[in-house]
Amino acid sequence: METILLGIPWIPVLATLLAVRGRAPAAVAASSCGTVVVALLALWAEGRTVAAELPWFPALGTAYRLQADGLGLLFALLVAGVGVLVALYAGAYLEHEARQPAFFAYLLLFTGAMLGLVLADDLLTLYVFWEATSVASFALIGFNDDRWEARQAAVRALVVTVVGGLAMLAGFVLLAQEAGTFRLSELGPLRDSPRAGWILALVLAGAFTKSAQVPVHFWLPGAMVAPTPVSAYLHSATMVKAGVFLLLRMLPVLGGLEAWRAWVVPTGLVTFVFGAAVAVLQDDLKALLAYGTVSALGLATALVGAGTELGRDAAVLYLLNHAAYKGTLFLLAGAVEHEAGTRRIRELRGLGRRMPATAALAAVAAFSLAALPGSGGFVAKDAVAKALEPSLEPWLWLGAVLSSAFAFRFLQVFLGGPDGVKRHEPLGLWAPALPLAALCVVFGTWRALPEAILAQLGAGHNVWPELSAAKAVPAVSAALAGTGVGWIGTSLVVRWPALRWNGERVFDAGQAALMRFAESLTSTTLTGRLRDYLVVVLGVAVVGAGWPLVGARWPEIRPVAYEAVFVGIGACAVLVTVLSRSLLGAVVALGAVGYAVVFLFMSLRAPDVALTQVLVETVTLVLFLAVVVHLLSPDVPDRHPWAGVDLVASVCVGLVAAALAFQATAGPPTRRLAEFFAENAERAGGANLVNLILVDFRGLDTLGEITVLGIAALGVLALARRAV
Amino acid sequence: MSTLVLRTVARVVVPLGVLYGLRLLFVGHDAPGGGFVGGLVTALAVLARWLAFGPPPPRRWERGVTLGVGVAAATGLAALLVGRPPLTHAVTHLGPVKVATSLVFDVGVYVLVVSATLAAVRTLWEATSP
Amino acid sequence: MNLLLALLVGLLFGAGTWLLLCQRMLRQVVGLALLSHGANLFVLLSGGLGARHAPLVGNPSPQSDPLPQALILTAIVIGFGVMAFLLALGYRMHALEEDQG
Repeated sequence: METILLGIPWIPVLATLLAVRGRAPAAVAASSCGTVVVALLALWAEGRTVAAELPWFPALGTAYRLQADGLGLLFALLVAGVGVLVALYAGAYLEHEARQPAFFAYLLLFTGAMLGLVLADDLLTLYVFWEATSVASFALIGFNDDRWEARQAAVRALVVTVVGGLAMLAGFVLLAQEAGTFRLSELGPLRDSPRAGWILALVLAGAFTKSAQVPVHFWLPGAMVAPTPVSAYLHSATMVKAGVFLLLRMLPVLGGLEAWRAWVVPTGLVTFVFGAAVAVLQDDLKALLAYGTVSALGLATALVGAGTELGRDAAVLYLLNHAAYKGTLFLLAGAVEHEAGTRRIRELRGLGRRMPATAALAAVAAFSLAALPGSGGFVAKDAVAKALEPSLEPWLWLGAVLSSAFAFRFLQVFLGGPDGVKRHEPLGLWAPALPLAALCVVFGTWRALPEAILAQLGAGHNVWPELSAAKAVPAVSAALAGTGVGWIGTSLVVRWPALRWNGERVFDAGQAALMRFAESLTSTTLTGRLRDYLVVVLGVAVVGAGWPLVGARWPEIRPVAYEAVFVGIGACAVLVTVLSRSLLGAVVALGAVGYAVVFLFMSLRAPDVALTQVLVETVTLVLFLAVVVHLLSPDVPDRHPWAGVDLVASVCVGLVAAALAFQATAGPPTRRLAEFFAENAERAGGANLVNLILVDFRGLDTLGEITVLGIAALGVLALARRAV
Repeated sequence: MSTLVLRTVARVVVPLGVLYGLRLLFVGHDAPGGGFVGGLVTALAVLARWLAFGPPPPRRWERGVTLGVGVAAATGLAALLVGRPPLTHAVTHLGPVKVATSLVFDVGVYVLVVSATLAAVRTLWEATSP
Repeated sequence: MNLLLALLVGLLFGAGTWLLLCQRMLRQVVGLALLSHGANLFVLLSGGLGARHAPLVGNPSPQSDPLPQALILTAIVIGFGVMAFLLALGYRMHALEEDQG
């Protein structure tokens, strides 16, 4: 069982290898998801929480840990089960798509990542799978990559969710430091502290961006440019629920914090009402459903924010129900678009006659969405009402009315007389929705199902609403009121098609501003002239190295010795080098500088250095002469208009260097390292300490050095060798 | 005339220079010298020979460069075979003769310096001569 | 003496900077050579001035510090490699200009 658990996320990932081969990728995807379902059911039947891990980063205390607890299993079953249906549906939907194998490969990668996410028992494992779902979502939103809107929507979704994910990672690291473990199931309740506040804020940033809470919800409606199977699967049934799922996982850890309720409940409620209100005003079938999803995610968030067990259970029931009816509606919206060629509600009329199966399934799902008695939505809404505080009840009713309103607007496309165009409905475009629609009904009529779910969560209470007039009447009247609102909404859309608040514009403006800023920064700092960079580098060096010298005590001046002669010769040679008008003169003077330095090395008792210097100086001179003689003609030492700046820079550099060098001679030098080398010379078996350092003590440096020299020599060969 | 003098001197100086370079390489562990210095002296002696007798045809200098780095790196990695950290060296005495593995490392340095120097000089020389 | 040497270091740095900032490639290479002389001398100076003997085991004290010397030795050799590379680069630029001109 442990091995099966560890392998579950990798079953779809390995199936991609088969899918990209191109032979019946839809069947490959569906059967791999089916395999996962079987494996999950086996884990379910085990009746205990199976956990397993593989070592990953033992030094960090993290591992590839999975755990099949009730919550994880429920969500994993949702992911794999809907995965089967969506794969079958996508096979029909993308019938004529040439890049089908790539599509299913992305879809399977997503499925694997999502399964890992919901089963993870380790913060870092969770994070890695979390980001993997974002990346897969990016690829799927931008699947039609020849369209700008698709690419831009993919970028928006990726940026929003990944930025949130990064914040969440920071929160996880802080959390793990605080708790001493990365293991999710070992985390205990966190106590209030400033640090806990940060952890909460960062983790919530991850959850809110992933679950499209206001004001960062805009990426989700934008993601509707993706092929409809993607919208149904990632952006309604599974991925967007990851944020709420994270909240559920974090509830035992962070739910006790005072800020938890204060932040999560209002965010959720605002998103709930906003999403539903905007959904009513949409003219695009998928956008309508997307804002409906935003709304549902808001309600689920608010429920988890309540912090109670009742709230948690209601959230899970609600999310599973939502997956059933919203998945159905998305699949059917895709079928409508596929057959009618448009998703605009205004242009769609009377499809019910031509597509009876589609219309019937849509009606079932819409009943559940409107929470009419007998549907799963009714059971879930009832649990929600019990879980929320009585003071929040008006919000709930407002939401219920609006939900019914956009359910009605969805159904509108099937109403009315036929528009005379011949349409048919392929089996592959409605049959996959059948199990989901059936689930909507089963959920509302067969009490064993919700009870089994609650048992998995370990809840000890009952949520089944005994049907009575006191409950049925408000539900039906809300639905009727919603129908009226939906009617009004339709006319509003016709009058004001621009009545859509759009966070995308803010994002795009921000993105454009960032690009402009980057461009201006690049063009002002990167001039392409070596001189400009040098002046900056030198300026920083002068200031950085020079400021500690301000007010420093100067060392005493030692008496002048015979070496002063070489200093004088060297100084003269330097001046000749600089002032010489001919390059040849400069090169010869440079040689003189080198030899003067050699004598100084000797006088400072550095024979190895002096020997090396004299030889290198000679070879360099030969090289210089070889090149200079050849290139002598065009050399006139020209100066640009800013020679004054150069002069000032040079003098400053010289002064700071002199001052630093003078300071370096203050006091007796530290002999610690020199003594270490002298004491350990015997172990290396040599007497010349300089050479011992080079080959024994610091052999790696020398190895690196000769590698540099070798590369330089190869560079010379490449640059100067005549073509043979 | 100058060529005659140069050649006569070169006949004596070049072998001496090469020998001196090798000597510097071998005594480097205990006295001033070592792979760098020895390599440079040897390279200069060879240069003197080129000046006197004309340069040889171009060779595949990169082989010497690779060989030098390779020898040095191999010496360093050899310590791994006996389970020591890389670049650890051993030293023993066979009677009066000291044998140190660090000498092999230095030989790598020597080979590299000789070939890199000669490669640079020869290539630039040839490239810039009309 | 220490002041005198420090002044030479400063002169080498200043002159090197001046040449580095000019527009001719080969002058810049000369400037770089001056800069590396200055830097080498600087590092050696930081090892102290009063030594009377080279850092060989068996020499009497005071010996000079071997560590700066090893560092400089490395620096000299790398500096040589860089110099050769820059000269080859200069040659190449010149050759290209000639080809185009």
